[in-house]
Amino acid sequence: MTKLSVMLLLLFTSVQISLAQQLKITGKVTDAAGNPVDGATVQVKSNKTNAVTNLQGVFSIKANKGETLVIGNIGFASKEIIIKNDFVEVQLVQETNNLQDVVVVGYGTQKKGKISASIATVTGDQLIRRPLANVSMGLQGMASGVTVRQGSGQPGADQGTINIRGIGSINSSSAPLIIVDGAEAASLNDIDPNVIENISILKDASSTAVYGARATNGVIVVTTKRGQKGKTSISFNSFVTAQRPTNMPTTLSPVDNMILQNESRAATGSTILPFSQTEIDLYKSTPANNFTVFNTDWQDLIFQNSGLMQNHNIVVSGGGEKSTFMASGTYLNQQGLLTNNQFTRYDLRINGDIEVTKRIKFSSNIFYTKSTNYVPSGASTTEIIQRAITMSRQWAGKFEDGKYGNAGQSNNVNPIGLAESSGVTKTETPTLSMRFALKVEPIKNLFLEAAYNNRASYTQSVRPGRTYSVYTPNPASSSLNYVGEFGVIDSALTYTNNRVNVNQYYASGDYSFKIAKVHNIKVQAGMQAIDNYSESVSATRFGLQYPDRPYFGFATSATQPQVGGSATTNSLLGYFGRINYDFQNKYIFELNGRYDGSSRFGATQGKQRQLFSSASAAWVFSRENFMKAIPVINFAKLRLSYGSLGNQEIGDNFPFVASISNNIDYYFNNILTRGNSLANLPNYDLSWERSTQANIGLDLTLLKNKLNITFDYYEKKVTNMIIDFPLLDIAGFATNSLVPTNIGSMINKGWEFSATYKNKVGKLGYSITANLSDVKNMVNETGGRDVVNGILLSRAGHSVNSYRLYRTNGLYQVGENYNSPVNGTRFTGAGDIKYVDVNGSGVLNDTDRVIMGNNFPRYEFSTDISLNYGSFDLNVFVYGVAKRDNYISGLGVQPFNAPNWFASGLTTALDRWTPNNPGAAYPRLYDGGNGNYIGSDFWLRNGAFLRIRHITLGYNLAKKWMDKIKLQQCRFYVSVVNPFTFSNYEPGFDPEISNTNGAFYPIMRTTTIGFNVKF
Amino acid sequence: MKYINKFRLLPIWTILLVSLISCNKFLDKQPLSEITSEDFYETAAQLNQALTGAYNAYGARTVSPGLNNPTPYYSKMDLYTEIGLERSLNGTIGSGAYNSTNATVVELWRIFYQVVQRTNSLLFYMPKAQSVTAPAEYARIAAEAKILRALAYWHLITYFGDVPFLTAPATNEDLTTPKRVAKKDIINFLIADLESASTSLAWLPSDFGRVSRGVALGAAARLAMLDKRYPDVIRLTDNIIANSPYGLNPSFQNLFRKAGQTANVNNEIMFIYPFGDADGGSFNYLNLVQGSRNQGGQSSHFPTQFLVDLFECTDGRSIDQSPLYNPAQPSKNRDPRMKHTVIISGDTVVVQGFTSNVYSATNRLVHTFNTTSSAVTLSTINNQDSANIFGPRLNGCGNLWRKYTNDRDINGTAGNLYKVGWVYMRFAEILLLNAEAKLESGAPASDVATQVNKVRARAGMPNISSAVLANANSLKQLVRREKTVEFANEGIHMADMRRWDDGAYAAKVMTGLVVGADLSSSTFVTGQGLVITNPAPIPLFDAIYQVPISYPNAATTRLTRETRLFNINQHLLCPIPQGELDKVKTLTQNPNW
Repeated sequence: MTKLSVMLLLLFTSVQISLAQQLKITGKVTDAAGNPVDGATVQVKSNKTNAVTNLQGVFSIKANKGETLVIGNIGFASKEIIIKNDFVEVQLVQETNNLQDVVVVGYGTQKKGKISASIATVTGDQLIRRPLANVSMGLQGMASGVTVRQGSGQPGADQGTINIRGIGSINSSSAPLIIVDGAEAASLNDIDPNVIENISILKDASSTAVYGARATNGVIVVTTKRGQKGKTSISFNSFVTAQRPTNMPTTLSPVDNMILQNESRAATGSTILPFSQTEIDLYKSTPANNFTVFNTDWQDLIFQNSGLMQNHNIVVSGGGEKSTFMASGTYLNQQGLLTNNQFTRYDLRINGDIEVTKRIKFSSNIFYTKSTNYVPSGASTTEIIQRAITMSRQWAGKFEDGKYGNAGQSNNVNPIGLAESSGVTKTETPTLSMRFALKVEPIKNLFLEAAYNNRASYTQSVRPGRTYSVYTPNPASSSLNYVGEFGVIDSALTYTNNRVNVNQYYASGDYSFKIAKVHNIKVQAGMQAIDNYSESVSATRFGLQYPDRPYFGFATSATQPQVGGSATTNSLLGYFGRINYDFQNKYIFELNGRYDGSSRFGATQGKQRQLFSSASAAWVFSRENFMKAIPVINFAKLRLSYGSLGNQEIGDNFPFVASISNNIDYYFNNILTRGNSLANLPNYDLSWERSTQANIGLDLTLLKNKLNITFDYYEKKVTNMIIDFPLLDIAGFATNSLVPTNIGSMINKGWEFSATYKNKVGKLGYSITANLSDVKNMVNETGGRDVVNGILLSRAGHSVNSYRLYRTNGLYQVGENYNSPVNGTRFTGAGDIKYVDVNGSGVLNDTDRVIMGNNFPRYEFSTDISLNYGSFDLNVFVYGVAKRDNYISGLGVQPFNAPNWFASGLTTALDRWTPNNPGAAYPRLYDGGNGNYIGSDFWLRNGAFLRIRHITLGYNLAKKWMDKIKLQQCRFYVSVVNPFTFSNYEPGFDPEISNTNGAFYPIMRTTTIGFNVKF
Repeated sequence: MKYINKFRLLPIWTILLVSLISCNKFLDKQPLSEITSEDFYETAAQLNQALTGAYNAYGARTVSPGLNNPTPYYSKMDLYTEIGLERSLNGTIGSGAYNSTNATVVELWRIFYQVVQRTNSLLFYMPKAQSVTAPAEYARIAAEAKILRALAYWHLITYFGDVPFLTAPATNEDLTTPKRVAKKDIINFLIADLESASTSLAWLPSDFGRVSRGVALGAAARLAMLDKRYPDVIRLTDNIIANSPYGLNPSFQNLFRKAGQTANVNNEIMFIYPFGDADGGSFNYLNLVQGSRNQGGQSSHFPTQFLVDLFECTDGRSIDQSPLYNPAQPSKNRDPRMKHTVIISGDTVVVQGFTSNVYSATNRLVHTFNTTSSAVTLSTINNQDSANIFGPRLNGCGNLWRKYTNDRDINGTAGNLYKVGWVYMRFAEILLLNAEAKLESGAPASDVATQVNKVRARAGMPNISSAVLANANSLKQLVRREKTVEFANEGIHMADMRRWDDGAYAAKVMTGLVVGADLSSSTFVTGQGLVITNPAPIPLFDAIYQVPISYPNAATTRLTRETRLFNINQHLLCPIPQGELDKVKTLTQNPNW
């Protein structure tokens, strides 16, 4: 390397000799803080002679005194200076467009101006402006092309599902890879939003190829805060939030329920009706007394919890000459609405950096988090809510003395009893993650780094289940008759322990150098290895005599205690490399590659290893002379990238073996005899899913850096996609008999637009960001077979997971021909849904189902408006989806039909078809449904919505006050999340929850007060 | 130079670290909590485990009420015939208003092909263990597997007709271009296979719960009957009748009681699905599924009035002809099997061993009956069989099954200690197969009567009258009725009713309104029991089939259920599951589905 430097030096010298007639002017370029600016161009205005500053910001150029030098660099306003001496000092003023900002990329960093890939960034400050329980929802709408969908409002389970640039696979994972401080993380939601410095979302092949086999769905790289030398600070961030559901369905009144249920039974021709006229009259004439006449508000009775959420965080950071640290502690407590449902989390993170010597740096990240989740034991939260949403109001819920009513048909599964008295399951997950890194700079600009990370988590779940007593009123004696015990029958304690241990090894070296001052080159090479191991053990003991003290060792039951366990493992080993090159910060090139190996594929067939690579280029054409004519454009860059990536998240660690299922038992001679059987067919040939991704992008900065625009168009083609060929049932594996095969392909084509306008008018500062994106998916190949998942289907020529439904044409009216098309599955009559015989066969059957619509959001948009005026700041965030279908089924639409409880209808059922209501929105009532609730477009709803995601108003203590009490920042805020939603979706249901069957945990509308204080 | 030395060392460290991790073993991972096909089927113990797995597939699966509940799937098959119905109002196989996506159809197809897979895998891989297994045991394991496989095909052919026929683990070709094989050819293969397997087994099973030589021949006879190969049926059943140690249990009801099954007098039960006495988790859900709502049952399987009215009176005549029949007290003077098969209004049922109640689907309150003093009282307990909307009155058609609900556990409240095994095959079936085959192949009436009379005599019914013996059609219909009532709720009736007269019988009895019990109120008359005050008219019997076919004024006098569809060109076979047709192009659908 030294030899090379010498040669290069000689080369430069010879160039300089040829220009030796003029004076040699030297100079130094610094930024406002006095730091040297390297790579700045220096030009003699008269003859266009060029020079570039070195790492110390020093340049030399031939020029005459009195001539004008033009000095410029990305991220700085260019400056002209007249030469007076042979040494010139220039201070450049940074532009506000942050092109000098360092952006975190895969295994490294890069200046924003030099990026040729498609990368979106979100800063920690943007995230914590509003109250957040998890990071994933914080990303919703923040970066175009990143779709975040929320499916539940349950504490601890209210995170969003993230997709970068559409759905990346049919059967394998479509989730992006999450990297936190250089290590693969289990979940984005393990990270406390308060400690996030920034998040980079790597979207295209160029930015992700160094992650090879895990990169096909994009990568989210999170960097946490670190201490800074000499800047000690303590900050507190706290908020308290009240939660209410955005939307809940309402049930029919008891009288309506009885009348409609009778109508439903009568429609079948039955003369025996569930409710007598006497009973209906009683309900009409007598107000509810909760003993003989009921009007139970089930939702109110199960939503007895406060729904309060509080989050308190302290960050201490600072450092001396040799070492810095950042320590953060956070406590989150999120109460559910449902009784006995809450989530708590403690976070502790310490990031430390020590300069061992000037050239050796040691860093550690230690992160401990413990989340605890409490839910009722008797049934899932969504099931309890589903029952409460649809339980008839005329059944007894809870009597005056707190006893539970005999509601819920044969099993008496009273949802209030389930929520309150079936036991509380506590699931605790402590996770400890430690990363130690050693970074050495043996010679200038050569960095060698080695790191080791271990993450261990132990999920421990204790599920004490117990019964509750149920009573039925006895009007004759004015007392309650005991019916029996329900809930977790045979009170049981289940203990489950899952241990996950992940080791990650990393080593890499990078070297930056320049050739002829204008060619900037950086090369990087490294390796990474990961091994995952997990095991779980569970044990259940039945017949607890003292369910309040489940550990008490006295249990009696005919059912034997049960124990079980399992373990699995997988590993990944990859070598990666990268070359960055740019010429005068104007022409930028990058090459990336990774040779990856995964234990999930069969070694015998040579499927284990694969090379993934990408290339990208960017042209900063605003630096070209012809652009000088367009002063409105301050910065403009065109980006191109192309590359191939892989996906190893196929869901199975050992697809290449056929396993034997055990415990397939039988009793011979009254003795339990153990049996086994073949569980599947082996799949030796299974290999990686691959994707090739092409991206073209444009970054523009306009209007004196006030307006920033980014536009990207991409095509992402997934090949070798694993199609889970549903094995014919004749193969004999009963259920889930699927043969994954690398045969499918699909393409996502999309565009992303993002614009930010920032300005200040007098005391009013404002910033408006708009994001708009769309991605269209098309399945190209599924091996000739449809991939069917209930009413969803993936077929070549259509979007993945499209709805396949019967087409309908309103409702039959009296006197119409009910017998055409022939429908052998029901007794068609007036008020029934009219299905369309699409293929004209005269018979309605499965072949008449057509593909229509799908659930993935199209034309996703968001707008972020921030204003500040004096001490006040206001932030309004709007998020919406312009096109989306959403299907509703089950209890959401079908009245009186629950598997084992006395279901009511929702108030929407009042608008059912009757001869007097021919224009009804819903079909006639018919016990058993009469085929009206099978998958048809009648139940396909417009899932588009616009939601005011949050409005936050903050007040900052004036600086003069803060100085007096030595505060750096003091801000109070109030925030409302989801205050308004505009949508044409089914009444009572939230459009953001996909394909509901009436079982859901509502998404919350919240109100928060909070403060940020920094000393 | 100092730097350079360090610089030279560091890459070496890096390379060391890289090479440490990069050795190939890092990616060489094998399952940690599973065994794989590579190391299985290699010892006698493993062959036995695989065989047990096949028994499990044949027995432990279920159709109702949930996939995890151990109710033998046979228990639901009669609900798809004229003698039974299930809780659901429509969309069921029985209603005829169903399609190729029906969950039960899919389930039936799957579970029997699972038996086929498990037995085929065992038979295919077992040579790996031949050298380490005693020859007799090796032969026994193979023979048992073949019998289970053949029984699975008997079900598949019964429900679906021609089906893909696999005798080894499915090959790629089987899975990409499967074809349906004519049932004749399948039956041909299996009869020979079973006869050869039978020689490796003793008449009595080596363990309670296993198949035996008799089951091999009995399964062959069932298959032969499906294809109307009457001489084969006669040959196979004659062999059993002449040579086996099987006979009839003198007590019909003991066949469906725990103690009776354990004793198995005369070895009538040839093949049974057993439950583990000591294991609280092993029990038959059928008691719960069928039981009265007043006993904590869920009453979701019901017998039809057709079946109730099919039982003859004790004089050997049907209810439309016998002077002994009193519609006000329909339980009186009936075939004794009736009270062990169904529960109808006026019958006494034991509640938890101590008190009894009198079953009534129409009274609002429960009548209790003291078995010691014979006193009857009207209790204040609400009659859930009458009131519950899923009870027999509001949901079924008024009657309940007693067979497989008989032996209620004394302390059980949820029926979860019901250990009565499910009888897959018993000797009475062999006798009636023999009789029907003889009748169909034109044997003298007296030959036919010999076997039938044995079954009737055990039940306490008179021999076939000379008038019936003299009338060929009457005799034929009697044999059919005999098989229907003897085996009601034992899951084998569907094969018969679809076969009789090539579906003409099924088309006759499966169409139209499902009729149930008498709607009229009833009162207690001392010394007589429950008497229906104003009984509904006696049904009219079909002239040819001699079964109750028409219920005058049914809509106003009786409980009713759905109107059933039955198209003889469609409903004699279930549709091939749509999922299968969606997967491959070579499978064809049954006609008109």
